[in-house]
Amino acid sequence: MKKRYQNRIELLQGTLDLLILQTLQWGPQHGYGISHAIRLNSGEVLEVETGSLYPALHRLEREGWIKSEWKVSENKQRVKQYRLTVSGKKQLVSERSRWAQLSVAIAGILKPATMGE
Amino acid sequence: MRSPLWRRRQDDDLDEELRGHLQMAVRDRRERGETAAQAEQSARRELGNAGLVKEVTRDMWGWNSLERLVQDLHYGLRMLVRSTSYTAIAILTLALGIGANTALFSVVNGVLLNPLPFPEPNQLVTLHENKPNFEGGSVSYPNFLDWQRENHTFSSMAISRVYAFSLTGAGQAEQVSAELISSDFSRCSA
Repeated sequence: MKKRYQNRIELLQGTLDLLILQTLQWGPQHGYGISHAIRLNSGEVLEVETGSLYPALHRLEREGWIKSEWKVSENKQRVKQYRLTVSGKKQLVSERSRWAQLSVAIAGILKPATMGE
Repeated sequence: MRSPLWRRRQDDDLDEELRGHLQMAVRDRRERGETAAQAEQSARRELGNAGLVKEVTRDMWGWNSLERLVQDLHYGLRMLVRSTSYTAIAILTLALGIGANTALFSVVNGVLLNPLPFPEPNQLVTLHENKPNFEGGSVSYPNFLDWQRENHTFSSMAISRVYAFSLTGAGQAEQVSAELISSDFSRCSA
């Protein structure tokens, strides 16, 4: 259990927004569902703390990228669902390209070192 | 403006949202075969400090500037009420500062900004007659005439006396303060 925690990677600042928007691309989801999906899709490597997830969700909603709605789940439980807005979709596209740029840049920095120059 | 009512509803919403999160986590764990107590405990541990989570989430709602100002004022007042000696010193300091500034400004205003509307006002002096046990008393007119006649110091001398008149006519009578002046008074200020 402890080892699994050590394997988890701290999320880069700003990355959480991208992951949330990306997760909501597949349809409306509540906070627990989002954190569950991120953990699952990252092969149990990325764990989103509630203390990061909910501030991020509320911030994204304030930015107008996502919108919340209270729904009743299959378990007859009232849940707050978030869905992507039109401007959220645009934000997702721009964050994805920013991430691609960043990973290319970091790969470029790491390359000479691995070649042993 | 975001009302306190809006905030309370947001607070209730956040409570319910986190409660829902916990319930779903517990249900998932029970479905995976954990006992009720185990599931509850692990889910709570995973959620972390719920109070802190709420606090950092609430920060995202943002305060509008007016709410923040009111909050700051409340806080300031509370602190002032709590430490009376500090408050007293602060008020005293302010009072002294304002008083000193006002006094200084009065002088600057009178001397630099609004000097007397005469040429060379620094040459104007007021003369009094000192008597035993009565400083700065008034001057009798015959005395003044003597002074004027024997004067070698001043280019001119004049005398005045505070007086009051009753103004009557239509309506209530009113007292008007006035000054009797000698005929050479205008020469002194020319």
